[in-house]
Amino acid sequence: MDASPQLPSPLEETQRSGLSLGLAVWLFSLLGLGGALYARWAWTPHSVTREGTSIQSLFDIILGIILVAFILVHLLLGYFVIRYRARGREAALYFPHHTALEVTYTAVPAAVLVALSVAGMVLWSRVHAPPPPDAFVVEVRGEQFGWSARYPGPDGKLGRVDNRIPAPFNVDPQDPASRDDVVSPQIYLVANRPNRVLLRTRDVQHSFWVPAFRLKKDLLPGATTELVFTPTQTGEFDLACAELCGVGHYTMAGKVRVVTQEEFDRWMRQQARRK
Amino acid sequence: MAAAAEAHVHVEHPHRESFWTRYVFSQDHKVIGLQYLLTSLFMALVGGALAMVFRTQLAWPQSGILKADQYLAAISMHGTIMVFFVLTPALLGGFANFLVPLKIGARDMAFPFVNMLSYWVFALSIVPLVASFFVPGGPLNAGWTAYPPLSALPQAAPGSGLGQTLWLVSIAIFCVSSLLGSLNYITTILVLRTRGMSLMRMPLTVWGIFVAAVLALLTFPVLMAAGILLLFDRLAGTSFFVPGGLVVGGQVIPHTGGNPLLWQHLFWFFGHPEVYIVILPPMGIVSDVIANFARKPVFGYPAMVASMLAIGILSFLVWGHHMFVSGMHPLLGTGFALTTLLIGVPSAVKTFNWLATLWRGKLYFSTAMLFAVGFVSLFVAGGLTGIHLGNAPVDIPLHDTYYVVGHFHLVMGTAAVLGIFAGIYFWFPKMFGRLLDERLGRIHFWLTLLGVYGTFFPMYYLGMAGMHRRIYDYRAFPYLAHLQPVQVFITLSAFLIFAGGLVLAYNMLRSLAAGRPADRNPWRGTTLEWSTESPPPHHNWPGEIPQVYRGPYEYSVPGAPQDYLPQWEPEPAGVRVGGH
Amino acid sequence: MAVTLERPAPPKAPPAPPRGNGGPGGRPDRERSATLFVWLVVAAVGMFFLGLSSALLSRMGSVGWVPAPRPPVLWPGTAALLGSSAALEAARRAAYRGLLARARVRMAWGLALGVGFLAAQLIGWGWLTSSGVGLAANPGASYFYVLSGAHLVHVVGGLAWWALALRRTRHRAPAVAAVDLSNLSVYWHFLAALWLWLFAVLFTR
Repeated sequence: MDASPQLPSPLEETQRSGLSLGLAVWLFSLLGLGGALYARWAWTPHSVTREGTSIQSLFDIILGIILVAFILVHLLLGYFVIRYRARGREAALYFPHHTALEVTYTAVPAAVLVALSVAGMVLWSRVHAPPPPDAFVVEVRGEQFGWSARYPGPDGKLGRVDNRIPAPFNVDPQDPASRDDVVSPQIYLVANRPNRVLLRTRDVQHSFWVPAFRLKKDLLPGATTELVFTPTQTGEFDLACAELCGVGHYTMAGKVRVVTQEEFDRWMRQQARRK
Repeated sequence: MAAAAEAHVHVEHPHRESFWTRYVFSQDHKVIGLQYLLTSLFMALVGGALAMVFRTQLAWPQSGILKADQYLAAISMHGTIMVFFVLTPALLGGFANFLVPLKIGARDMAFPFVNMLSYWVFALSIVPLVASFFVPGGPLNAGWTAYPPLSALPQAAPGSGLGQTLWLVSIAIFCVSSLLGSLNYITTILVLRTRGMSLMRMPLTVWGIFVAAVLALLTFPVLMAAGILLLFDRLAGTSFFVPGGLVVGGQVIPHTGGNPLLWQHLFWFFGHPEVYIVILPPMGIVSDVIANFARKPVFGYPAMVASMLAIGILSFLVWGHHMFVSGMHPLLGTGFALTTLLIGVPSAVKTFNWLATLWRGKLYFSTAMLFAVGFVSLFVAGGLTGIHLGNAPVDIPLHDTYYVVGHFHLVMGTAAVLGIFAGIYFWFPKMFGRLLDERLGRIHFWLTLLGVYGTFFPMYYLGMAGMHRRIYDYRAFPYLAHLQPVQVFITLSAFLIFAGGLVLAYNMLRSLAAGRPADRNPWRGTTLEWSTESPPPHHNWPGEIPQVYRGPYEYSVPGAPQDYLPQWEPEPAGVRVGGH
Repeated sequence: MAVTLERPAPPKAPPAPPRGNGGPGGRPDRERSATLFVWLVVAAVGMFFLGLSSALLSRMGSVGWVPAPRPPVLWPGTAALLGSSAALEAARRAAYRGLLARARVRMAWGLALGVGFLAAQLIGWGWLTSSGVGLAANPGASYFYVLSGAHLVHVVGGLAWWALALRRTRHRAPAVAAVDLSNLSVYWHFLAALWLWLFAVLFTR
């Protein structure tokens, strides 16, 4: 069958320089690198929880690895497109495989990724370790479109909640455990001890996201999820909803206040007196 | 069943075809492929226009160009359109249909009638989607991921009314179309290859399409199942996904016993393979294009095939990485973190193989090649952050932030798209017998490259800064105010992408009418589609189907009379060809 | 020529051609394509029901699971379905031995039994709704209606194909009809096995 080409090939006319492409690739990768470093050191919130700090450390290790890989690949890519442009009669090298090279660059990424995965799994288990029995407990509720908190009070127990009950936080007033529950729009957490934040939603999914903690957890309708962590610093920190929950999702901003145990106890006594 | 295949027997006598059977309800894979491709490009303009509008809202929130529910509708429809109505049909639809029979040496697909149906069912699925713009409440508000209860309860958002139902109907119809297509691609590739075209001599474009089609066959049905259950929750009062005790908009919701996590599991069981469905064919395309314009075999062809298979298999095992903070059992998170990081290995292998293909090549920078090189850069830029996101604890501060948005846009929205653009410039001459203009192509390329880097890379920085996503107006979050100039920069860069798309559209129209004529093999390629006329005749080859004598990338073979040995030409005397 | 009482040898499949067709599509390709098509359809439908079944199993493992009561008519209905599978299998074997007339009789029986299954399903739904157990009555009912309904949709498709295949045996060579029946039986036996799974699991506490 004669399938020989009939017209001159536009291929010859694309014997162009790869200089602009190579320089662009290098430039983008350098800008990307610079931006990443700047964003890490100037924009990333500093962690104020123990777990968040470990997470941030693992993030940094991985960041280092991927930035090296990113620069390396772009260095080669840019160099190759500049250096190996089509020139006259010079031929390409017929090089369809090289076993040692292929095995190396399969094994090395595999080893690195497995190591990172193991590190991640270990940290993951730590972050999800069961809370100690003396953890500070607060229940945070999200709803369309705001946050509120409930504290178990001296009895250490949270009363039953039923969304149909027309009471603050829909707490069942008949349940004896709810008698000393304190409901408040203000979310308090206590520094330097494990905090167990129970998360509950009234309607659709939300997510409890405190950037400074480096932690978030979804609020799941029909269930209570939880986040266990130890804040290392007092202060007021921004809270946002990180799961699309409707038209007012962008208004679900809030604050959490990390205080000392004494400050919290004082506040609880004030609330009890008000009741 | 055999009757359907019989209906289009390839006889040599000319049949009388009406306008309708020739151009509208054609059973010719080339026409159907172009129908898919042109429809998806049109939908890309729609999805892109939506992006231009909501990016404007994000950069200048005081403009109020969109209201809050319209913003959510815009981003939800943008995501839906880009994933389902642009990327998937352009690849498993457009390129798959046009190229597979030509590249494997078949006259047409195994089931031409079913093929025609698959396109028209796809076109039908667009109707309810577009209709949702015009109903009370507008299109869905719950994101392209449509999590219940937000998507299950009309009280939960304006777009959770009729608009959400129409979306579900559209997606269900789309699932049927996708199934019909996959059946054809898989069967055709397995059964109808020409003499000498063994599986390990197939071009990587075909392999990418094959693995993607298998993924589609096995995962779209699960999406269909989920969608049906959600429709029942919405319309028939069942409680597959809606638990009891909810109060929405002041109303007590009567459902009871459902589990919202179930939707997430079912959706992402489909959703994760879906993203590999849209990246595997472009990976194949880029391999074909780079080999052709480097005049060099693809380095490590068997590893390229093996890595596509590995990606395909692993893609079934990683879906939970979308759910690390969802409240699912932590042990699941542990497992999914391991499988997710493993899937990075075959991707790394492919990247190094592309680099090794370029090394010491003879590089011709046609527009197709520019886009292919761009693909490699963007795939790496997007893929590497998968290592952060796939590492379960590290994902916690990154989930639902712009870090994720940057990641998936770089791999899907730019790398895959650049792969599609490379394919368009590469195969346009085969499709239409005319070349696209190279100067306009370069303008398209640079606008796109600058645009995508400027739009999506900074999103990583926003994510690191804690900026969460799907937010209509960030002014409620003063700690993010300092990032507003970045949002403006992103929006301006996005305008460049759209402008590039317009240049492509213009180039295509102009070249169709008056582009430079192309002969059968303008790029001096080795694969079978270049052995026939441009455009190919009905039944693809005027005489016998060529036989295949070698692998798909025999470029620059030492001792050969020219720098490429096409698959269809018998051995030239005195040349030893390596490989398969 | 000796008279023989042995059954005639089954028609041999034509010798495999060199790979690929190199010309107008030949029959072996069409047959292989049709057979592969059916297996792929079974894979896709299987995944669809895998999705629904995983939803069912996770619901069954959670608080508040209440199964629907099993409509008594489903017992004879299930028997009819199994009977139709058996009849189809017998028909397929007859076709492979060239006994087309016998195959057609068995196909007709099988089709009738299949329609019997369809009727039993509809009666079963009617029984359930009139007992007050509607779609949203309890989790078991919801899953029962959706799963058995989805199954029935696929059965209806199978019955349509069955009727078409039966009609086509009138003007086909036994070898072709045999392959046709072979393909149909892959699909039909799959649906029967699927029903057995659903029948067993849907009504469990």
